[in-house]
Amino acid sequence: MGIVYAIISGKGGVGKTTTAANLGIGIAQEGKKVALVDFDLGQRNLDLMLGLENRVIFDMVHVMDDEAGLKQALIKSKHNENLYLLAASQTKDKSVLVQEKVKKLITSLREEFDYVILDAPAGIESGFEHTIMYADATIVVVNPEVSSIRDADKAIGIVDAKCQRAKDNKPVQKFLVINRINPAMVTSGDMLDSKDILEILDIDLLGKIPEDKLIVESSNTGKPVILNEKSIAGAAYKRISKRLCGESVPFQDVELFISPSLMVKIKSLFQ
Amino acid sequence: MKVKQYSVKVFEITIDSQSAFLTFMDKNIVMLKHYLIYLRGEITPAIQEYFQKNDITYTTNLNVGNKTHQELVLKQSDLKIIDTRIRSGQDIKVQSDLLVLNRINSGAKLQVEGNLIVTDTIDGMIFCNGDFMLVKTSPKAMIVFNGVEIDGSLLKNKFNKIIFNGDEIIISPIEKEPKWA
Repeated sequence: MGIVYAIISGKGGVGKTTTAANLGIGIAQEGKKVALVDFDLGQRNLDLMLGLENRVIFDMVHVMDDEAGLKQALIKSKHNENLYLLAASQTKDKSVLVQEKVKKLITSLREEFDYVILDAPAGIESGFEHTIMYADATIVVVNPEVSSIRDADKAIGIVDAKCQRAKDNKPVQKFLVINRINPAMVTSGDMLDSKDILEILDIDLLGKIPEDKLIVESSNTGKPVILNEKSIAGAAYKRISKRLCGESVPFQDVELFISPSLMVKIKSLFQ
Repeated sequence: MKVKQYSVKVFEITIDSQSAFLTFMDKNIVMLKHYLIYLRGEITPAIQEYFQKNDITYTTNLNVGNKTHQELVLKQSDLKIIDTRIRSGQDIKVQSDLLVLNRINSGAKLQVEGNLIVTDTIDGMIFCNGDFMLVKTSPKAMIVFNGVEIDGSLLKNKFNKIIFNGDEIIISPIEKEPKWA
């Protein structure tokens, strides 16, 4: 029996899909069998991030309607043999999702895989509700800005109210990933720091990811940043993946900013 | 002749309807059974039987004089307590008094008809129509008390007591931080 994680944010564009793609590869690298499911029907992106855009023949709607088998629709990743993608439909929209079919799909994925990661659509509409309904835990992605935090707060409220586990009176775990932290701005006080965010949202911190220019490049080329050894964001995703696999990895202070001029001064001390 | 006085503890209760009276007695019997009950209104056989069964002393004729007579209003406690975080998008309406032991986040709305105490930071909106309110200084919050928006700059100390006495609103800071048990 695998664990089902839903990646949510409320607000769009904060990095849900990027996080899903990177954590998928990160957990697969730990030797676990992972399924990534794109729930953003009508606006599928996850296949692009993984460089699998031309391999999608059957999508999750085909599987739910029994037009294709689950094995046929799962696409093996180019980057890791433990990782599979179940793409969203690009032609249908969120209205085709039916609770019973979603439940059946997630149950069968749970049997096949160790980790099932659901990439939720932005917003808090029906597509979002179907994504969180049968998840065991949620990973909340926020950017350090007030609008993202308020939307995430609302999304967490909906998870607490509508998720199946909450209805069964079981605890729903919620983990926080703070994405796109700009250390220079946090140090200068222009950006919310993680302590403030945690105080508002009151959920467990899973990881902090610094802003990284390599992310854009990696999304465009379909090679998630976690595969890039030089990337600081990739290293952060690697730490989060290890934490999700039960390893205790200490938190790194990605918010600490060392200005280039300071580095020069420090180096000059040793000369 | 021997005279002994143990204590004089009297409750005066006016009976409006038998059923309402009996449910009230059931709820408060633990306290009331040690008192002398001064009954007014019609005493039905059912009430008589109830008193006999529970071994409560009562009288229908009592003259305590004006000096010592104090009207005691027994009010059913209707305090509500919220100890979960009030998140964005939640809209909570409470008819009674309310005690909030957690944060009220930005985008949340709280409407209270009774008195209100919030022990944590407020970022959202609160509307209170009671006589009394105790809030932490919260610059981001919108606080409306009996239809008047409280200017955030008036809340200076960590905790502030806001009282409505009928025609004016008095804001007084609390110097010492209360200790919440």
